[in-house]
Amino acid sequence: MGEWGDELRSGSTETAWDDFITRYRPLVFATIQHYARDYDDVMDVFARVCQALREDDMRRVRSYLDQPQHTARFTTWLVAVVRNLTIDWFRSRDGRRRISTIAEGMPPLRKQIFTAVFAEQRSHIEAYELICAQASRPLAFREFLIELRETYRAASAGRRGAILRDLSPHDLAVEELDSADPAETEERSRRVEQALQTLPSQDRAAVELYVLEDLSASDIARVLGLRNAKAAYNRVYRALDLLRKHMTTSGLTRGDL
Amino acid sequence: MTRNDHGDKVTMHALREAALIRPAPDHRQSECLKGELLVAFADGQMSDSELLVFTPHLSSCRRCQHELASLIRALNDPEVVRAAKRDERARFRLPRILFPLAVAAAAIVVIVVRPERQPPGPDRQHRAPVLSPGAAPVVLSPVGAVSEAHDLRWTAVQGADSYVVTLFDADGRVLAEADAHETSMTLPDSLNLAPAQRYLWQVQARIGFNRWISSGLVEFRVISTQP
Repeated sequence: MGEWGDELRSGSTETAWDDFITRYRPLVFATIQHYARDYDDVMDVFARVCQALREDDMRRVRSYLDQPQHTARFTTWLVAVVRNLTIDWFRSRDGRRRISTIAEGMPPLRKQIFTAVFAEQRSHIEAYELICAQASRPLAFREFLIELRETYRAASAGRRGAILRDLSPHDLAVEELDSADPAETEERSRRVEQALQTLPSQDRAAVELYVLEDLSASDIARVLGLRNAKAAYNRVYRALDLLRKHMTTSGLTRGDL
Repeated sequence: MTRNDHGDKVTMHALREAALIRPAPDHRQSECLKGELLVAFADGQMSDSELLVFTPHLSSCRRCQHELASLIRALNDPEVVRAAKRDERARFRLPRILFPLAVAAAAIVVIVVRPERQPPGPDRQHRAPVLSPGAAPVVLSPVGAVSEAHDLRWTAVQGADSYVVTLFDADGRVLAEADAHETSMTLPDSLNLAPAQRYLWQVQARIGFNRWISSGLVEFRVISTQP
């Protein structure tokens, strides 16, 4: 940890803090700027992060120092803490207000979807059912999905895309969805879920992180303790092959797949 | 393994669609992976036994997958990577009290041993032409096969108040890194560049509030001209 760690352990909190923030200011700023672009936002979040890290004689930082065995490098731990504080700041301070501001420019249906999914954190199916219940005209599921995709596109664009992506509980690439009705989609999804459950957990984690979260093979290898990116890549594509075979035998037609 | 590209794409599509309407996890949020575990996953520090215990939850919980992926995206941000690497390198730097002495010693050696590298005269150009705003620095020399490589030179970037130069070996290990305010840097004499070996270097210009713009990574090798 260097000098600041020794100072913190010896009780010189003020000196420890000065050394700590001098050393890690670039990393803290870089993490905040991953989410916030506006200068004022960055400075406000930075002030909040400093306050949180400094409070109770640097309790948070101490919690890392006091670990008998560190489970991650300090820089990774610090990025995680700053990330959480940044997201909390957006959520608690002006998340809903800012979200509402963004939704103002959208057509009425997308605004409803945006509010349900991003502000109220509802699942997509919940959002669809809620909007159907409130709608003055019937809303086809297919139409909902098209509007949902466009809403995601609008939300992910622009300077606040990264923070909105993290505020959404779903973070999915909503593309090429062509389902005609929710019952059909639900049935197909149920079979996909059954197929996923046949995979060993490491294979399932690899394929979901790769397909749904768009993580790279090298990231997946690191997360799951695989030898290298090639090993992760092979695992993902072997899992996809198994899934396809399982889904075919369970009745999903070639047209579905 | 034979790949079925079309089949893979369609299967991925089915997975995305299924995830879109997958019901909320049937466990409570309090049962999800705690922050420390997600950090350990992200850092690749999980032991085999921990992986055995916690991977099943990760494999089926979209909430945890999303939290983990979000953290990894932040960790992969180029600015975050740069800041973290600089901190790790800083740990191996000379103690603060010794650093000025080392710099002074290096400067004396450069002046005494290679006076011809500081030619007097009015036509000596200290700075390369200033580029248009927003342009990245361009490395000038050494590039490609060179007979010697004592100095690193690059173009100026308008508005840049400092530069960071990094020299790597062919395996990506950092051999030297230094801050500069001019558009050139003399390599320390302690650095012996092996003939015919590949080296890479780049320069980053600080152009504002914690904002950097980087040159491309350029390769060079020193070809001995002596018989």
